[in-house]
Amino acid sequence: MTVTESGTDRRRRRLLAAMAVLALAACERTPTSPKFLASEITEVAWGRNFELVDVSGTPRTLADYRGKIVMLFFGYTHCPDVCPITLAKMADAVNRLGDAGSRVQGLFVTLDPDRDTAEVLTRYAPAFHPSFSGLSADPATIDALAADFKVFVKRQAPDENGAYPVDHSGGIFIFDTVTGRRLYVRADAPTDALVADLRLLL
Amino acid sequence: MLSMTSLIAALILSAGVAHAGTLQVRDARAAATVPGQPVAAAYMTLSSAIDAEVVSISSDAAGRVELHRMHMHGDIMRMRKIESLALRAGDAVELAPGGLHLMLVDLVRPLEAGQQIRFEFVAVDRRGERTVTSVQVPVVKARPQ
Repeated sequence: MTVTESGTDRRRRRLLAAMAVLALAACERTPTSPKFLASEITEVAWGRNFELVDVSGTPRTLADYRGKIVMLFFGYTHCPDVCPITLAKMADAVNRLGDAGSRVQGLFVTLDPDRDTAEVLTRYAPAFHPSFSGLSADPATIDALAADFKVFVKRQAPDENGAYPVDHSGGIFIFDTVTGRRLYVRADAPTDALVADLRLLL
Repeated sequence: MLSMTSLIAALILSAGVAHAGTLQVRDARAAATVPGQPVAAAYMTLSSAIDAEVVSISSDAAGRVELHRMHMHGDIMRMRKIESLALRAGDAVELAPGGLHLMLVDLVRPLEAGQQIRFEFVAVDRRGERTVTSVQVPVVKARPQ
């Protein structure tokens, strides 16, 4: 005895088959990225690493901070508002994360290595948060690194007191050394946004 | 013979108010610094009853006080020193983060929230009269948003 499928049955079968295919496809797809407030720059070819020196003269690259969520900020200590405000924002964010904050590593890369000596950096970065570290290099290396990170830097001519401003672009680069995810947080992003994105990574 | 303006200015100064007939300083605050921070910023609103120019500023908290203007060109922050600030009679000029600000250089010691520091503004009016305005400014915590 042959059993013929009614039109309704056929439609239902096809619908179930289609749903099965979709369900399988969803399982095979890589987990979607969390919805970050910052821009995700994981796939960009630039700004992937650095070769700098810490205040004790020890060479440092991203590998030295394996396991951490690195927050990298380029600035200079003779900057009266934007740089201290950004570092304070980063410190605030780490404090608000509580215990999880110990996995976050704040790094301050100077764009003004001539004035921001190891002696200066030793006090400056940790003054915002004791875990923060200052990194430097010779001016050519710093300029090349800034270019790699698409960070604008131009040290102006000194005035009669030997003082000079450093024109630069702001923003914080975040590296999740565990997943490889990278974010770029704009200079004007509020602390709440930074905390939210760090929580997504942690 | 002393001009009337100078006499009035002197009398007002001796009374210790923050507006010596020409310059008025309102809502002044200096941002607290961390140890090792070599410069500090201060903000306020300046105005003058008559056309005047602020030609020099000093503070007991710093070796030098400079006036700077910050511009944003896209993402790029540029800060430039300006030598004087013209105040048109009745206009208020705001010094605020991201724009005009005072920069304190060669800090005597870190600025701590809760302290009061003193600034002296020297202004010259259209007639060439110089007035010195002394202001006590509170140091406040530099708060990120």
